[in-house]
Amino acid sequence: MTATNYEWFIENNLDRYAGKWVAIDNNKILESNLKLDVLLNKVKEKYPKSRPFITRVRNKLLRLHS
Amino acid sequence: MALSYRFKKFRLEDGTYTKRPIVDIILKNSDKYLEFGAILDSGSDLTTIPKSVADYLDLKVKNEEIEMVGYKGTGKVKQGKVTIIFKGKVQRQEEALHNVTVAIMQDSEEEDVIIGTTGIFEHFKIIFNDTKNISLTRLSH
Repeated sequence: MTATNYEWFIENNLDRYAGKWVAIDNNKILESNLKLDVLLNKVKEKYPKSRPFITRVRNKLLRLHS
Repeated sequence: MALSYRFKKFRLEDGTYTKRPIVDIILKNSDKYLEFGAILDSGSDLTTIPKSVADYLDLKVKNEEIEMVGYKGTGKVKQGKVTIIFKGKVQRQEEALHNVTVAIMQDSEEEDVIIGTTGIFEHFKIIFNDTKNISLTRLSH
């Protein structure tokens, strides 16, 4: 069975996209950008039929709530 | 059947690594939806989404702003409702939760999709196993 976009994201090294949002479809990065709204617009414009998996390659330590 | 997700290894700015529990979800409002890899955070009261996502999904948003303590200090959020679908390996494994309250971050610098406890954790038995996976089993009511 083919890996889902989620599985592809988990298993692959995306260090080169550190700090960016990425849109993944068919086991490849369609687009990446530091700003999510820019990424969403680019995907909509360039890949109108795609329904990608979107996530952030966060490279800062997170302390979500105090 | 339990949904199974994994920890993802992230390289930090200082060269060290950390692992975060990432779940595969769809945020849906009527016919609009987006799929995200989101952090599952048992320490967060509410699910938080960026304003750009709320705009994209055309979410109905309450006018009232409330304060929420986050990692950058106190920030303003507005609230809305969304359907959250937890994706499985195949479609029949999906689990949908409707009308989940989400906090929409008003600061455009606060861009993260974080799954918090309210409206989520009461529906699943959740096991975090750092060396293996995160499993979510739907509870029957």
